[in-house]
Amino acid sequence: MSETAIEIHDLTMAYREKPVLWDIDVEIPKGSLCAVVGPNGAGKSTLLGCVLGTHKPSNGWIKIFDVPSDRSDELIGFVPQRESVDWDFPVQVLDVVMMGTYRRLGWFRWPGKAQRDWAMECLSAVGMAELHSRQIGELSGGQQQRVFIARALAQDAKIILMDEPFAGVDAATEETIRTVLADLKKDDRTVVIVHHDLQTIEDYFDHVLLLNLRLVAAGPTKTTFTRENLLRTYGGQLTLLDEAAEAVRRIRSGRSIRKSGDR
Amino acid sequence: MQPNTLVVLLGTTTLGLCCGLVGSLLLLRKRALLADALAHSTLPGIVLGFLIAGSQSYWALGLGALLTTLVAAVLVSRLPILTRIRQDSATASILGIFFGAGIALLSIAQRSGPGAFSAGLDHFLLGQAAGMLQSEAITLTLSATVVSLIMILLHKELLVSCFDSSFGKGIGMSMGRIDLLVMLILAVTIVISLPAVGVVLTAALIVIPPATARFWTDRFNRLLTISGMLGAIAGAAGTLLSSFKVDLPTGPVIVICAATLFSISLVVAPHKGLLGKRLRWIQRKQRREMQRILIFLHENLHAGNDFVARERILAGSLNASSSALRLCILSGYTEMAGTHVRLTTEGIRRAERSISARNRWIQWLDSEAEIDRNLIDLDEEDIEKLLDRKSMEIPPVDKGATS
Amino acid sequence: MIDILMNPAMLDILLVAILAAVTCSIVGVHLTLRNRAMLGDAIAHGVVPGLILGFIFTGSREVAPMFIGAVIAALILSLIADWLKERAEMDGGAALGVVFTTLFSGGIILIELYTREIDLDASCVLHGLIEFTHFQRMELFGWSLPRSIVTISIALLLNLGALLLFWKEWKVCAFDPSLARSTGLPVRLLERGLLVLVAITSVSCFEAVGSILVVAMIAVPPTIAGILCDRFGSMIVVSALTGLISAVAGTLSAVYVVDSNVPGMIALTSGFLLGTAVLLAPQRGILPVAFRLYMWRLRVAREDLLADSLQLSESDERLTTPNLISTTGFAWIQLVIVGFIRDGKPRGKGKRIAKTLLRKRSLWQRFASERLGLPPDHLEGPAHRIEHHLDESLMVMLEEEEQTGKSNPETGS
Repeated sequence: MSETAIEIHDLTMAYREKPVLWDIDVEIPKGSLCAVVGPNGAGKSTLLGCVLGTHKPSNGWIKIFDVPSDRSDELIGFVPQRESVDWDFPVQVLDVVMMGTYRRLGWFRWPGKAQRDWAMECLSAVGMAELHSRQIGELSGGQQQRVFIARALAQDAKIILMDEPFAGVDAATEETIRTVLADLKKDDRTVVIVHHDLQTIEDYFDHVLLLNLRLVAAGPTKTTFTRENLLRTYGGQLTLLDEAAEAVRRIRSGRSIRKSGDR
Repeated sequence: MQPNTLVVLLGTTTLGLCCGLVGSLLLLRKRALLADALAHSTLPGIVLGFLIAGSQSYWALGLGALLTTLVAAVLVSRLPILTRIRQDSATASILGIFFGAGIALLSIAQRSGPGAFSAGLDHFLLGQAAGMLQSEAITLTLSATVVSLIMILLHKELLVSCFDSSFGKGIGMSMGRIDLLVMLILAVTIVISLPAVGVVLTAALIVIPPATARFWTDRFNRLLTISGMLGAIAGAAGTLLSSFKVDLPTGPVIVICAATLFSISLVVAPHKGLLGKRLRWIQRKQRREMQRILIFLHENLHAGNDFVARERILAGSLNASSSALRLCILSGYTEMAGTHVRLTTEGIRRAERSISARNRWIQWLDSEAEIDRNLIDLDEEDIEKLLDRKSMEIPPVDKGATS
Repeated sequence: MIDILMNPAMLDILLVAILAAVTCSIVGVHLTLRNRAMLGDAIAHGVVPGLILGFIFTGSREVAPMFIGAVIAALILSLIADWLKERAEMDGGAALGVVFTTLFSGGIILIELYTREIDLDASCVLHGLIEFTHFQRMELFGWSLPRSIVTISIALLLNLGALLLFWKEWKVCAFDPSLARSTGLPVRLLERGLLVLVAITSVSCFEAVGSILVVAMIAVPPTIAGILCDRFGSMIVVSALTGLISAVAGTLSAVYVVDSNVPGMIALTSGFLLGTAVLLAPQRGILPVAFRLYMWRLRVAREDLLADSLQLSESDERLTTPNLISTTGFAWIQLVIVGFIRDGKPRGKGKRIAKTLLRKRSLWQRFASERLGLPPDHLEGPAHRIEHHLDESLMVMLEEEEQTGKSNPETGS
């Protein structure tokens, strides 16, 4: 197998005592287009947050290109969920893309012409150069996604995480985003995407990561994206885990402290 | 003009600048009303400062106020995280509790024997800009300079923290520190504004200028600049106005100036103003109407009728408005011949353009393309603009559809 | 206590405070559920020009015109704020802030221009005249009653009436306006009606008890109710009760303990109640949650100690005493005190608990490795902790899984 971009070992994430992710052990090879699939509340977004470094895992570690993630200088691009962005915010397309250069600029310094040109270049890479002075709310769904992809490019991110870019977009936009994804893959970037639509997985992605609190399976789509793996991800087998997690939640809220108390 | 007016003018102008700058950060975090809550929560601090220091010194009262304001700020921002109290309830509750506590303390302080707290509640609520001391004006100027400097130096960190703080965390900016800094600037701004304009009007100066500036720009840096400038203008104008008519209190006049600027912007701002929106709507409607007339005439031309009776355009199935017809004539697309109307050569060209654009649009809509609510009513210029870009994204489907 | 009840002036103050607090608390629940708690504060400031204009137009200090002026100002305030939010696409908070501060400034300028000669000072609006309740009386049905008690009672009755009448409609509107609209409810009208109610309530309380009390009572008791309750009905009741308690405790402490301002002390009391609720609410309070977590950890530690000692005792070894200053240590002490562990070996009931846990552990481990496919090195750590959560029903499920797994080994693969 080729070089590993993201290596996650024994990752556990718990809010208070309730586990959100359990013992995730996975390697995502460089240059792959990887889908993270699983039912609601399976911890998909949390996993992205851990890789990005916005969530601190309770257990385990993550390595980015063989460097522990908290010491890694590697920039990870992130395309947020559409609902989590304030589209009325007074920024123009180019301003958003220039945010990608902030890390390298450091404190206090203003972005200059070099950053501007670089941001424009990244914008043209996703075919959005002529819209650079639009306010972000004036764009269509697919264009909005591409702006954030351009921001990731401006970070020169080798790894790009996307949270449901295909949610609520129509066929044409989906096609556009796919083209951009294909370009990213051509550049040998690693893209990890939280995805909901099971029907398109086989067409769009070469890797999948099936998740339901714990890792069900991960690997190349052809061998991993099988019916039984899906059943294990979505099916009744895991109700027990859910029950257990629910029991923890109940204890937190104190409703069944009698029931599960010392016998 | 009295010499003191100059001092006051300097003070209120820089105060407006300061409030405008800080306010835009609050506006962008959708926390505008926090300013009001924090301004009210200075009261217990002021009274405590007086009770502890035993005098009405500027610094004792100021420090006390700063302290309770910061406590209130921490509570308002932490309560929604620690419990399931919502942001708005937390703000309102903290406001009510702190101000109530302040009132209770005040009535104790006012009874506490000789040297009792003489600064009445009125001064605290409304401020006394006219009585501003030189030292206060200098403090205000200094603070405004510091705040502006922070905004200039940290503008990109502030932008990220307002727009997308998880991105900021992801690229290693410490968002917690930035938030703390913003709270600190806000608290200091409120405290130094109190003697001049009082509680409610401080909140006004923090809320109104950024809301006004938002009508004028879609960019972060410009929002900050315009908001600061509007605050300064309101401060200066209010001071000058009230100095002409001496019995008017300065603070409220400043706020009324700011509100006037707001109302003007609300109406006339080119992009977001109501007038602009209305005009664009009318213009768009007119253009669509013209397009309908031209297409109608063009169809008739094909059927062999060069001339169409004016009544057939204004009534019947077309039922177009006469002003649109007049506009067609004025633009040189049609000409009148007695009671009949005819397309000019330019009109024919224009009509053909409309028809082809419309056909392409219909075709594109058929191709399951995304249908954006805002884009349904379009004229040919919009369509051409749109489709030139989109046609690169969408494979043409015309041949497949006909075969 | 007796002398309080004997003193008619004091009794009136108490009564007014209670009525006002309860009324505002009930209205506040609606606002809190709609994320509009700040409206109370906005109205408190925004009514000033209405009051003054009412006074200027009639030239009298009669209550009626000022009341009407204030209610109209409150309505205008909320309508303009809503309009700005919808039409000018402003942030709701900013729109409210712009409007109420402007109205307030306008009011102050009006005072300066027209009403210099009379004393309508700001502190009067803020404090209200609660101390003079007893002395402003009116005749009603031949009885002489304090005026503010009558007005606030009317507001309270109006509130209760409207609440009962539109109970489910307002509930739906607060919870899901689009659902309400789709079921054909006149959402806009209902919300406007609510605004009118809020305006009337707050204005009728201003004169009697001052605006601070109104601002605090609209915001704080509903917030407390929000922490304690999950249902609309119970929220209303708890909010009203909290308002009542704050009013009684605040008034009494203001008059008999610290000799301070009554509305201020009521607000402060409600603040203490809020703090108490945040810290101690049985379900979501910060301390009970932490306590439950700690108790849970203790139980896990106890069970683990018992299980470990049982396993060790099978090979005739004994568990060594853990570091006593730790959760495990505390669990150890507990076990030794109740006699579940003696000499590092489980005894009596302790043995039974240990056996149950070991059975759970083996069931769970087999389930986790065979059915969930967890690799063996993952059975430690968090996966291991699950075994403590398995209660009887889960055990039955596990055993059933075990059975079906054995009888039909093909399902998993």
